[in-house]
Amino acid sequence: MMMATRLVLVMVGLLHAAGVGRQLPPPKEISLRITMLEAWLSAVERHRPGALDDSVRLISSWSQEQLRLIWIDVRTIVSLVRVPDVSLFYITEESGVSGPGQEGQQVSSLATTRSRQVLYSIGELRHLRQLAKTVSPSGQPGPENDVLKRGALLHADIAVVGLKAGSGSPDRLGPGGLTLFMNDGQQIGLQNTISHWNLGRRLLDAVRPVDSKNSLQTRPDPAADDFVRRWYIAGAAYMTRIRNIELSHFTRALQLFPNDPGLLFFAASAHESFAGVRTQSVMRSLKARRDVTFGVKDEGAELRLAEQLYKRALDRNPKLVEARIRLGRVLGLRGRHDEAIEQLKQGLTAGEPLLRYYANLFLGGEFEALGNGAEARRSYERAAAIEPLAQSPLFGLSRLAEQAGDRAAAREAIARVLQLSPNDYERTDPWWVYEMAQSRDVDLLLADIRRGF
Amino acid sequence: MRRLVMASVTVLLGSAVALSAQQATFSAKREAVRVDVLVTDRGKVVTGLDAGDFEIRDNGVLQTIDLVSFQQIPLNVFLAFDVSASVSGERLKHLQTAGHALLDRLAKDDRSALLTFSHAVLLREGLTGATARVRQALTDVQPLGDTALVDGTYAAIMLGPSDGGRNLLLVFSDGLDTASWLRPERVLDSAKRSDMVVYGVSSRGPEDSKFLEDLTEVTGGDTLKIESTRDLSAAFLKILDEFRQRYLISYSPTGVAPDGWHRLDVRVKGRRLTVKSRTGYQAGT
Repeated sequence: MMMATRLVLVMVGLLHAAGVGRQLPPPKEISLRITMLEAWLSAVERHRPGALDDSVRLISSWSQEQLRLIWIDVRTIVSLVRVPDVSLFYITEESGVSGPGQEGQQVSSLATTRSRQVLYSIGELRHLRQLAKTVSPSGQPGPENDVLKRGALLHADIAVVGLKAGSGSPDRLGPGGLTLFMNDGQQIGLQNTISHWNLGRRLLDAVRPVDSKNSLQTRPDPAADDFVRRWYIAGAAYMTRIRNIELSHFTRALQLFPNDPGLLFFAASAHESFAGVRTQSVMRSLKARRDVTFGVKDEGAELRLAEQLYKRALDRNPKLVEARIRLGRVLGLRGRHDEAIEQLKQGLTAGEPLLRYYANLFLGGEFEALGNGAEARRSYERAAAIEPLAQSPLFGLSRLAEQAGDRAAAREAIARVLQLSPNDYERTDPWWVYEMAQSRDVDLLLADIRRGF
Repeated sequence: MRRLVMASVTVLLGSAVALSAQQATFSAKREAVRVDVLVTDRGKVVTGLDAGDFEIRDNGVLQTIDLVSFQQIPLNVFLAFDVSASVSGERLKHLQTAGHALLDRLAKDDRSALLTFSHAVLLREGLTGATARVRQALTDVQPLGDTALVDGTYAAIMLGPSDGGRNLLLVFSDGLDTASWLRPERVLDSAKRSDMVVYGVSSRGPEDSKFLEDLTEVTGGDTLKIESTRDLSAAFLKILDEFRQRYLISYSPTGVAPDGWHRLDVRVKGRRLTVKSRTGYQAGT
């Protein structure tokens, strides 16, 4: 399968906040706002998980500001379910008039986080209380979590089915921001887009399982809910698959689940990818406003982060052989070839041929770097045996022979490459899809979170 | 643009070699060294020089030049073209037009081959005197996928026959290498041991085309930067014309070790001409 040649980074929306409900809206807008909230709740309820249905079509057509209001009003309903007599509502979101940005959050250095009071008219509040009753007829907390989760699922599905969403703005609050489009190591665009994953994250931040051990009744506790964890993993896998990396997704995931080996693994692989030439080349020549940053560090720093995260994943789950293989590659790129070999050797007995291929291919490179031609050759030959249609091990074998002065063998290996199918579409080499191979179970992960709804 | 004098070196082999691009045999016996040289004077190619005009040092030891030939040996022209997804639409047309223009200018005894690389490295047409087949192969390419510039270049270098012909490898890429397995520094090492003269044409900035710059440097070629693929035809023809005007200098090494890396220094005696030669050659393997 061909690897997509586009990598996208999303910067979370920020800057120049308009105060939430700073002024009471005119009566006509009240009606529209509540009507849209009702439409959203209805869409969430009717949405068939995974389907491109009317719910997806409707919500994907909404603007950044409309989605932001939905998020605010859903939070209000959640508050009303949990504490029915509450009358003051606050939201916390990023605004950008002063203060430094948080490290690694892919936001402008001007971004900061503020809490604001949300003001409603009496009529709006009456409607919202009625909707809260609809969400939880018994008046007991619990059902609001389903709305939040189903909502996050709907927005994930909008992101997955890829309908063209409305444009976002980095200068307004809401689930939009700047997306950097790259192709072939070059920046090809910087556009404002809406991130439905971002809206999903905002919704899930309000989840509080009924059995939460948190003593504050109104305090969300998303980290106590396994659906939230699985949603983040599926999202990370999907972003990896289409190479549309929202670093804030991984950052928030690790804030909530710092010890989850799966999330640590995906976060590590994102940084491993950022260290690659595709991203680094673009970052060197990025054309963007001075206050915009995508949180991507230089190659060395990204590799260090990747190493740390892979090691943390392996500390939590030593049997995560794929993390071990990838850690081996990262160590090799950092020039620590002996350590790399130690890790990679443990991947040789992996169950999946794909993983054994990577382990052998990378071992070939590491032994080559250490000048151990015999072991390098054996490793490349094993890789070639696992994937007979792959060209990379043959290039490795050829280069080893050439270096050893055996030009005939070098040419013979190249001849094997050139005898592979002349049709690009029939050629395959897992090396070409290494940056997204770790997401190969994405369909299962998405099905897993859709199950039960 | 950096343009001076270029040189490449070939270790002449003691026995005949098979000419097939994929099945050659080689002798380890070294008889003579050939250095492919281009001389310029303020950017203009200088012709009409003979053996007495040149001075060559092998690892600092002055050598006696046996022979200098000029425009007499047929060319083996290897085209290694980037056909990744970024080379589509108008860019592909420009590439095809430029390739066809170069092929049209080949002499009767010249041979050519076409290798393309996207993520996959494909030999579209092996070394042949039938230019029409190479033309057709170039016409048939469809851009797709990522760019394996380093792998593709290495494969092309390995294709070059050591038959005493003059081997020109012309590499075009508009992209960053995103798919190669081989590391650039290792391919550069291999290139030092080949007798290919590599010319590169790139539309990328200096940082992104460093591999091509280094490769052409060690093989005695040059890298031409273009602003647009519209400039490809002119670039290709310039390279071919320039390559034809190179001198082929031959000498039997004396007073130097029979193996290892040999540093080369080529000059024109008594004249302030610009001479750039391949940095050296590997002997003994």
